[in-house]
Amino acid sequence: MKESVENILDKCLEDIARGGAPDKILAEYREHPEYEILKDALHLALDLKNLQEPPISKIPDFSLIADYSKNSPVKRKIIPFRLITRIAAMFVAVFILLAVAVQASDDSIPGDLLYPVKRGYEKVRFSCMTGDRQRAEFKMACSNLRLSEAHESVKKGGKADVSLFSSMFDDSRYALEKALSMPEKDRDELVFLSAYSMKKQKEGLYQIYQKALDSDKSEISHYVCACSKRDELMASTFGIKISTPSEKGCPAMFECCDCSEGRECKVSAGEIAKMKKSIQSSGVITGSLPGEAKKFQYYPQ
Amino acid sequence: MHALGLVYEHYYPKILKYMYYRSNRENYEDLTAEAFQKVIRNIGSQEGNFEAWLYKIAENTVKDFYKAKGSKMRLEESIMKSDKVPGNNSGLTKTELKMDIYGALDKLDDEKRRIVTLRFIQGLSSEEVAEITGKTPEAVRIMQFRSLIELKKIMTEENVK
Repeated sequence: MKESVENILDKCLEDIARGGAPDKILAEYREHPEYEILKDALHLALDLKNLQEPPISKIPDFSLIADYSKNSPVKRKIIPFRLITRIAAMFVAVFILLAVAVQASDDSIPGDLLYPVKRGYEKVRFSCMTGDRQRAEFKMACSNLRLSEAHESVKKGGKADVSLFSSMFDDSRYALEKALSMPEKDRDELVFLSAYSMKKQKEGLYQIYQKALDSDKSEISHYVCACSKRDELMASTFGIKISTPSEKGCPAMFECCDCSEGRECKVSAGEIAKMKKSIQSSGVITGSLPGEAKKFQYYPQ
Repeated sequence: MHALGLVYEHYYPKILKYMYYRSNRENYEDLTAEAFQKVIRNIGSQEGNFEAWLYKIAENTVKDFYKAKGSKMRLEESIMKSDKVPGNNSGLTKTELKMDIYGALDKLDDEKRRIVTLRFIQGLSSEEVAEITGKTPEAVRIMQFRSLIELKKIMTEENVK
């Protein structure tokens, strides 16, 4: 294989540095196709090597340099203004992009491109919340939102995503547990809201069951049963009487009309203890009771 | 004498020459002094090949100098320099001599000029240049060849003019 002209030049320079005569060294490569270029480059390299030394007036005294280096202030690195502007512009652009994506993802359902943005934003919002009541209410809203998303998916003829029902149960449980551990006034209100939300979810889930594809029905029925049982447990434990919009003849399950009754709710210490025990032992609140749910065989008419 | 003083005396001419050909050939003494001040300040953190470290400091000093002055200044100085041939006692101006090697060096891009200075003017090996510049020896060999070709081309073009 023919040696590259770059390597030959380097080799020639090394040979010359060892004391070789340039013309004699070059003569070895006379047959090389790039001989003329090599010759010019080598001669120029030698011209460069023989460039004059810079005029030196006097080598400054080392002690002067050393003293000056000790006394001179160390320069701080200053971030150039242009760089700061660029970084700031980048942050603003990212912020605007995120804001637009979050806004656009508001109505997304599972399977949509922006759905992960919606869930991610929920997580960010939740982690930014500090108050227990705020967190409980937010989880309750998320729980209802999961059901709405499932409803929307089924309405569009899609497959019901059962993982949404699990999330719905998880979020409801979180809200209820938080409610039970809060001071009296907040607790009473939030327990009532939880019970109300669970009742609505039971009916909403049944609507989804009715509209779902036949292949999905068996899986959804488990959650419908679990929901019914959860609703009954809430009613029997706290004695809250709630009428949901559909029971009052409202046309749409998910419209925000308040048809509830019995807002005066007082939760006793005994009821709290009973519910806490139920959450831990029965799995009704978490929706994780497949065996029991099947035995339950309850479908609202 | 202080050990660093001996190092200073040994390397001062080399760094001065480097600064002379890397800079505008006017501030090279100040730049050399500044580079050695940095060496004294940072000698405690020095690791590896001393000479390579020294040349890196010299290079950073040149870059900081031009960054502070602005690249526009450098260009103006370079144009002005093309009419002066340092050390030339014949009294001939640049125009009379046509394009010389100094002017051609000024026209090379910064990275090529650095390689040319280290490899040919300072006489370092391609391996040593590779260590200083952070390139592979093969890349240095290719770059040094291309720089020479470009330098030759600049000189030829200017002579034709």
